[in-house]
Amino acid sequence: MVKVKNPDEIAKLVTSGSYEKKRIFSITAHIDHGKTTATDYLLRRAGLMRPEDAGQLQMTDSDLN
Amino acid sequence: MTQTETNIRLSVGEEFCKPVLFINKVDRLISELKLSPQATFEKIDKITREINDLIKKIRPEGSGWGVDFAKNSVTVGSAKHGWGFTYEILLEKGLKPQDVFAKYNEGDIQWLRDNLPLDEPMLRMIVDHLPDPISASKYRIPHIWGGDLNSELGQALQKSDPNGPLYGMITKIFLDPKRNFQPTLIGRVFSGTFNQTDSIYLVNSDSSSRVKRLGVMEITDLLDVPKIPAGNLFAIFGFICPSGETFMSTNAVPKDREERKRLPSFEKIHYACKAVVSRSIKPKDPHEIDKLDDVVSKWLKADPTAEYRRDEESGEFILSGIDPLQIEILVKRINKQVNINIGEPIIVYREKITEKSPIYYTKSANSHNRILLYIEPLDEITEHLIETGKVNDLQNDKDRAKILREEAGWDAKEARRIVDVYQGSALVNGTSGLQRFDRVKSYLSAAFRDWLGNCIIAKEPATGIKVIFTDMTIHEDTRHTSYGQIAGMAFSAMSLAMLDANPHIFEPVQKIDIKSPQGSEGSVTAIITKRRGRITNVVPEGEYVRIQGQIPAAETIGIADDIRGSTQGRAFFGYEFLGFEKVPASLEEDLIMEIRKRKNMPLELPSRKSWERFIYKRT
Repeated sequence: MVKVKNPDEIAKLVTSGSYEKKRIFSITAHIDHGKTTATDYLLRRAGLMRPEDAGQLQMTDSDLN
Repeated sequence: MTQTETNIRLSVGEEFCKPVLFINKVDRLISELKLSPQATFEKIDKITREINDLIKKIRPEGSGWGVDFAKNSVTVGSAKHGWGFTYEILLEKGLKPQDVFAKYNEGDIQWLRDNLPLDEPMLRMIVDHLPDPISASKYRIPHIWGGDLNSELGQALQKSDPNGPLYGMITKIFLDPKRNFQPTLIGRVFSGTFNQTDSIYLVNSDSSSRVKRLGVMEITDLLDVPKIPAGNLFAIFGFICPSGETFMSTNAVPKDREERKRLPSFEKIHYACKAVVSRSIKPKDPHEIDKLDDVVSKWLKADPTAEYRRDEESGEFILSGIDPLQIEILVKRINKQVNINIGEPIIVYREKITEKSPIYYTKSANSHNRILLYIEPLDEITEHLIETGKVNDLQNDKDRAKILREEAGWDAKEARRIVDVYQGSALVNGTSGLQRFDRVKSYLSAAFRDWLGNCIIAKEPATGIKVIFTDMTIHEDTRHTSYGQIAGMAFSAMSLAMLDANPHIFEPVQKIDIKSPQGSEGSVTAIITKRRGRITNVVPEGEYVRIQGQIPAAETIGIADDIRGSTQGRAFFGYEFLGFEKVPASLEEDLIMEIRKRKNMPLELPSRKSWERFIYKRT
């Protein structure tokens, strides 16, 4: 998985003609069953948050509370 | 599992997305329910079996799709505590599932987080089991795209060819609270390459738009990428459109409007956009009414399963949708941008008929025009086709007739004589040809829609009605055929016919699925039956009892609190729209009067006397 926060790397990945390792996926579940929480860990893996924040930060929560 | 089931049906069955499974919240089985390892494994087995039974019913033929712990397409874990594993991860680490139980006993969640981090099994399932975009396009395009597969575009789509004609779909509208709710459109290129400088044409909206910024999303930020080839997601700023919209390059769009109408698009996601519950909203500051209009329409583009209309009389917006919770969330979001007064949730009923009416012959107020018509219940399949938009008013007569013939068994001739379809109802020209009909056709459609929108029992929407006119006389002088004249005669004929077609009020009913701790099932059942609910199934599931049934939506307001109260908050509660059912006879009249009172209508049942003066009597 490409570390993000590196726009050039991402642009290179998007425009490359190589598809074997490319995945477009979505996460679906009942409300409050953990979609946003689980997504945090994938973002952590991509270098977008501190390890201990994953599961707490709810980074893809689209509501401002 | 109600909503989970719907989600799987939509993604696997309708969108042909290959599934993998993450069974979450396993920490609760261990530390709250104190299940033994054996009981936990059985529970996980059972969930996997149930999911597979469903997948088998709906998966693409020959795909063999399913999820299997032994094949590493099932992750077991806890997102809250940050751990998870597949079978192979356990093997690689030399761990046993029992080790997880031991760590919970010791209270060492950090160990689980460090040694079985959740991202590992998730990422492995995605990479090892899900298809890359090119392999997926091969089998998905024939299923989700409505065009000719042998055309240049059809071939490029199936190959996800970056050198093909530009073509794709806007899949999601993201309104960013941090950017003053500016819309970001997220989509996917299915053929060709999307360039920053491209102007794109939106197929269903029939309009062109320029792109301000093109790139990919990193959570909530857009990272600029100058070109996006097929098989990638993208994000753009610059305009807004409903999610689900198909786009192509403006350069490839035909000049002729009729030709544009025939452009193929992705199969619309058929949301049955049914208003079941509504709430009125009104800006606290009356000057903000236009701003509110703007804000509401933006949110509804992001969530096409809700709808709104402006009530001219009260100056309020009526926001409606299928799910009371969904409306509550929408209202909260809107309130963050415009200060609003919010009304109580109101249930939206339906007016339906149960018999065929006799024929009515009415005239317009000026007596210069006449119509002869009757109404009858529309079959359920056609009603559904209209409600989901599969049969609609923008189709040409031939295409529409084909669907009605093949899917709903319509007579070929009659199917081609549909004048309008609206709100699960159809208007049919049953004459063998009429002079000057083209002149009043749009008036007649408008009258048909107005009448259905606020029908005669309590101004609630009418659905499932087929109106067939068998003769019409239209005055040759256009001064005598205004909308008011045409609508007056049509309204009165349809209303009189409705009175004689055994009309009733129907109410929305929810399917409910409750998992309640053993011992509390009696009080839960009582809560449901007290509220006119019906229990269809009570099955013990380990420490829990699963209670399934149905309940009128009107009775669900506040039910969550009651159930929480009688189960010490330990019940799982799911519900979903089931359909409309006739209101019990003993309650119907009171309900009608209650609705009429709320709408300031006369407190009486509708009667012939309101329309009798329009009846045409041969002299």
